[in-house]
Amino acid sequence: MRLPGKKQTFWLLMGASLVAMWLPARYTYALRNLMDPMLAPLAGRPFRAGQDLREWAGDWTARPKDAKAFRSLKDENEELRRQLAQLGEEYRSRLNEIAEGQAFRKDLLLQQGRLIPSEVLLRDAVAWREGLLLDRPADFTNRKQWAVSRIFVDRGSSSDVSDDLWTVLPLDSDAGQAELFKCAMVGRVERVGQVTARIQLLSDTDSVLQVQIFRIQRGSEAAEWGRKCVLVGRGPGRMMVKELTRGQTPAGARSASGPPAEVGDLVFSDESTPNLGARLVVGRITAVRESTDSPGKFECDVTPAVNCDRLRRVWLVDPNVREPK
Amino acid sequence: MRLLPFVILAVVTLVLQLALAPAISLTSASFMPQFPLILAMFVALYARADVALIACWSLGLLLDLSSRGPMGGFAFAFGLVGLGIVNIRASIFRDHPLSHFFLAMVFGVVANEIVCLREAFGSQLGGFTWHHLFVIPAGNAVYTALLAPYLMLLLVRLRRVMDFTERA
Repeated sequence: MRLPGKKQTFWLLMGASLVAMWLPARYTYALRNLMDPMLAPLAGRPFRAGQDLREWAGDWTARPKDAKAFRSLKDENEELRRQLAQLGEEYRSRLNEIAEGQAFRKDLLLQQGRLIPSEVLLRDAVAWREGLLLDRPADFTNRKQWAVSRIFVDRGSSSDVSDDLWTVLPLDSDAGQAELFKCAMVGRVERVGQVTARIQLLSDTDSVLQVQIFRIQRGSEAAEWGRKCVLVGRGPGRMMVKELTRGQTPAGARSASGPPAEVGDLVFSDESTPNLGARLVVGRITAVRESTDSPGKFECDVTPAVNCDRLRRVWLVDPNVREPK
Repeated sequence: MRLLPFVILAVVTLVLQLALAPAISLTSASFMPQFPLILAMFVALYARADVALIACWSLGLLLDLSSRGPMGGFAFAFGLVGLGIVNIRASIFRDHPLSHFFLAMVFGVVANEIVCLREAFGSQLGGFTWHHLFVIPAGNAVYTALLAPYLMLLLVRLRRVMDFTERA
């Protein structure tokens, strides 16, 4: 039998790839799981170096341009620190007030299970796909687990920040509420290989999650969370809450007559989310508009609580508590 | 075309794609260059036609394997890119930076659109918007096209190593 020539082989390969394009991704996991362990040692260190480079470039572009500007920024910084300390006290007392009144604080923390730290090795190679490749811990085997991360702030020990400082962030801050909301959701484990795991970020276009919107208001007496709604990913750094109706009051809001959400409202995962069993912050609403597809309904743009460009380590949620041996 | 130098270059471009591209991406990873596409362009411009087609396809497969999403999308798209460039290369100035710029832009848009449209058709959630379908692929292609002339300058120096010494 004659073997096909190079041109025929090419057309055979094109045909095979055309068929493979329409196969569900799970049928090709085995092939990809072969590739991932090779990618990590090859590109892991350069990826870290790239992350360092990007952070350095960000700091360099934000540097003060001259000595006068530097002094002025230093004064401004000290003034802001004083204001921050005052706000911190006020904010802490408000949080305690809310926590006592609503008893929701315990809902935010994981009631059982454990968090498994895992290093971020790589991001996805394609611009519109939102994924991470993780160094898989040895005892972690389950797909459909959730990945959480501490909220990142872009100041560290070089800016006199230490563990014992009370970190207060205004409600409209990008970084979120560091003290109250201990963890932010990042994504879901999609595929677990021998030594690596792939995470689908919540901003991926194939990601969907049941969430609730929460609005913190001073003197709020609301005792329940808002109605459940659906959060879908919209590509890099973008998510959207869809199909909100006018009477759908966010938890913590005083009246049902207002819009279903406002800019600055927080989005939480639902506590009935499988394998999670906790409410964790997902993001913050940045825009609210009426839906063009469904008149009378609203949709909201949501910014993730975590800047995935800076992610270096995440925690995987394992909801199963194992008996000690 | 020699196999070993091609494999080494393919691995290097993949590492660049995974490590450098997110670092130099614009607007929170929306626009990033595609280094394997530039290598595919180089191979399609200078290698023997039948070998170039398979090499382009395998570069696409490599990108598919290192990403999530449906398998085969980039392999098919890069195969078409190879086919397109092989068919027009006799009628263009293949050493000219402007040719590299326009080839990277046109074929970058084509390759990204094929994969994007496939994913949009397969998406149950309707998460794909005009931004995904047109702005991101076009942005990626323009970014790749801006880098292509410089990287092609380097790659063209490797023609002898790759055994592209004769006009294919």
